[in-house]
Amino acid sequence: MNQITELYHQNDIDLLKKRNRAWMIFVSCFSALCVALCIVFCCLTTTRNASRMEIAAILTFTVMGWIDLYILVSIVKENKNEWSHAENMLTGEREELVGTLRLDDERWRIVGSITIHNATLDDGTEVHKVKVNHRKAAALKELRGQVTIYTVHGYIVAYGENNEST
Amino acid sequence: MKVLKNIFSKFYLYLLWAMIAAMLWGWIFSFVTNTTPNKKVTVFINTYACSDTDLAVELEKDKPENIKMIKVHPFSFSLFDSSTFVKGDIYIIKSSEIETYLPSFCPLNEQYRAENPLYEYYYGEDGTAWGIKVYDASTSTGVATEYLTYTVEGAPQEDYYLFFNADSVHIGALNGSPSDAALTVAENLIGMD
Repeated sequence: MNQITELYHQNDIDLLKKRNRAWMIFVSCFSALCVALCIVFCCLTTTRNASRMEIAAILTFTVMGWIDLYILVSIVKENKNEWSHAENMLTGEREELVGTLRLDDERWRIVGSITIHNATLDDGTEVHKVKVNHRKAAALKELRGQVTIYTVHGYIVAYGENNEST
Repeated sequence: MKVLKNIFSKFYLYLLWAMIAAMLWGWIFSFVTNTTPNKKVTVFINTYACSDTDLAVELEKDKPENIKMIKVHPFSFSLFDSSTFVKGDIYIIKSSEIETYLPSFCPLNEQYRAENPLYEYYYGEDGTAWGIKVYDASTSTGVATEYLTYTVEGAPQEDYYLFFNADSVHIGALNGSPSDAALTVAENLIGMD
């Protein structure tokens, strides 16, 4: 069997945590800046421009919230889901399976967690249902023939291609 | 595409935030830019049309020293909040609606009338003076006509009068309040062509 390829690394987890810290710092600074801008609008308000300043303040606050929402929901939360899953994979007990792997193209999102692909491993006597993290699926799609996979809680965490030489 | 897909999948969150932001910041803005009643004079006007911002800007050019701002609102401003309406200092009302609001107004005493002999007054049935005429329907002349529309085609022509809120803190000797800023603002308003 060829070298085992690990799908999860502590470095990846550290990188995700570092990125999230950076995003949170950005969100905090950006929000503070927008609120300061809204306060500036309040200070610049006169009788003549009151309506315009109010609309400007509301628009600034709304757009600020939308940008923060996108970052927190679509980036920060996703990263947190990924590293939580990765930490589980690194600490869980492994099971070894050998057979032919078939990966589904369709993606499924687990509520409150990551996006996965379903896959099956046919070892000749039984078809095992396994799951693959969507972010790790690209490498597995290239696999042909007999493979050895390692799973934790049904998720593929490592693989190796079996090249039989004659 | 991925960004748009992410946004549309959580569309309700973005919509909810927009509603919260508008309400919250609208309230904050009003709170921050407003001032206490003793530092502002509020005018409510019930003409057919009113350039409230322009009139307020004009009145602020000559505002009394103790006053930070002058607010001018059409009656519709307080449609959903009557507590705002009763806090006005000056009201301009057409003659057909006077009886509805008269109990809230301050009578104009002899001293005031003596100090302002050129004004034309509205008298109640008992001879009490309540308001000052600001638009005469018979001659189609009035005050601040650049900012206030007193008539429209098809509608009956009516006189308009200016009244003071009996609870105003800016009508001086009329009710013993500490400031006479509303009297000054009214004088300036009446002096406008």
